[in-house]
Amino acid sequence: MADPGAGITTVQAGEEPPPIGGRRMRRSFVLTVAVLAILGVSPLIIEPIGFGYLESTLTRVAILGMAAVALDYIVGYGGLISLGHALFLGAGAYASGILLFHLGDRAWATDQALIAWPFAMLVGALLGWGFGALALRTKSVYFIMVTLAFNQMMFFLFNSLEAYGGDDGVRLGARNRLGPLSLEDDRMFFYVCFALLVLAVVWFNILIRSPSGWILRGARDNELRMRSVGAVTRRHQLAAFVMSSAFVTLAGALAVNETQFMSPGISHWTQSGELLLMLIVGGVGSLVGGVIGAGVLLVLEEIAIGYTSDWAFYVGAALIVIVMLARGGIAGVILGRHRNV
Amino acid sequence: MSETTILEARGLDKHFGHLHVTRSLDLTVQTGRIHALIGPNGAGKTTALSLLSGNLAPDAGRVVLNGRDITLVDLPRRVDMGICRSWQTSSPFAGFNVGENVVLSALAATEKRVRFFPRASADVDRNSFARSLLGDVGLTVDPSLPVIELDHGARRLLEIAMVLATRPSILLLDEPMAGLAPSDVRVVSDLLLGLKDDHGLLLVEHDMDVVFTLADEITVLADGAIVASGAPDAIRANPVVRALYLQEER
Repeated sequence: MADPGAGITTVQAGEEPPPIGGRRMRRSFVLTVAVLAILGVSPLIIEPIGFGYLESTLTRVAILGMAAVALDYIVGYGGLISLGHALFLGAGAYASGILLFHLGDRAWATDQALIAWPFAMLVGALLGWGFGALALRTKSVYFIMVTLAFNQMMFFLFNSLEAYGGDDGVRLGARNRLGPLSLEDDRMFFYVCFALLVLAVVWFNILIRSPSGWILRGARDNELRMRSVGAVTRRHQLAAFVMSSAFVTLAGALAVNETQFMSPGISHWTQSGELLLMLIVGGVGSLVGGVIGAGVLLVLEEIAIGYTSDWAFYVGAALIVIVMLARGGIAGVILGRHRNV
Repeated sequence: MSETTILEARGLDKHFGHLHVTRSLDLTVQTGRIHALIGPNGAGKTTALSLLSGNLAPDAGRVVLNGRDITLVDLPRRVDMGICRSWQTSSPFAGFNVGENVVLSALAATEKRVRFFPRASADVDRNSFARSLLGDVGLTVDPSLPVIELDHGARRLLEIAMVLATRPSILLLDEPMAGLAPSDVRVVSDLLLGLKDDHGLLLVEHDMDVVFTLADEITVLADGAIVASGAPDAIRANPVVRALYLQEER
């Protein structure tokens, strides 16, 4: 390689360039560790301080937090706003739920998490491939509308499954089995969900730094520019959509385990909206913001329900205040209001 | 890279609605010669560049690279073939710092498959290639600076570095000198003259001093059609061109 030339005086040849965003990157790492640590110890400390009833809420924070993190990869880093990701929650619920439902009367049925959950992710990835390839032919608000349409399509498909209770859904009454771990134990189930959340956060942090992730982010900033230096942007956006879909589908499989109840409700489009709301509150384009948003939203809701039947009013008011005061979400405020990396 | 890569426009036509912006345009870009495209505002210079680079498709006519018809080849694949353009308005990727913008351009030109490993910033060769390009275009700022902190001139230089990062054999540059300080104009001029021997260069430019110093061939556009084409001296003496364009500028 040629000598870097006399122009650059601040950096030596061959040295790796400074990390992206420098201090912000390190802060982002600290914030991620802190948020996950807080969520990880929460089940142990809520009992003594009188919030023991929040235990199942924390499990939902881990599950929907994972879905929000996966959604953030395409929304925050790809600039692709999907209002259809609840369809993947539904797909995960039905893919693993149906395997469990038929236990005892069908040869292909299984209650093994190690089969059911990867199977759900595979289903999600394939659906994501198909829906993503079609939706990515459109841009901006049309992309939102097309993903919403796919969401509705799948919602009504789940509703029409009479064998599984139609729009009422069906009780499963059991959870998957995961080796020697007893998922029936709520505490154990929380930690399994939490471990998978940590895995998802690590994985998507790897993706945003990968070559494909850089092209995804470049296309978010300026797609035409990205294509004019040779990137086939659609290919990388589709890969991101598939990755995102697979992890939301895993979250769906966990969700059906949490409630032990399989119903179309989980795939209603308002649930897609709620995932986006979690991102907006927690901070779009920071990955860990999805976990923060899920935590704030679900815990706030649960606590408010305990005090008043008008809880939705107060939660709504609180959200307006958060969004007004914290542009860039809670993570954005903590990390400083710079442009997201 | 010593082959005489030749990019040709043959009878290109382009309408935007009722506006006829390119009229049976014939152009040639070849290595060893700098070809400048000039003309008054709205003459269709940028459109001509876009038709050659592939981000616009012509209504009629062909784009030919080394005898091969590439009219239907899209923007990214033309970059694979060695054609890369710059943009009149500097638009670096806002989410990346100065050095990363060049690395990202180099990466985009080579990473055709989806790869998640290793990290994009881990390629030492690519990083030092990017840094050498920043030196080549005379951009002396700290590469870790956010692009929003660059002034206009520095953005223009970064723009050229990003084009070079794709290792093009044909460069289509849209007003590369616009807004540059005189010292930077000299750096970029020297750079282009250095590239000339083994690169094809097509240049849309408003700065007449630059055009007449650098260009081996000048094509004058007005209302989407070629008014005159030839060596700088011939163009300078051409009465039609003087009437149409040069006097209007002065």
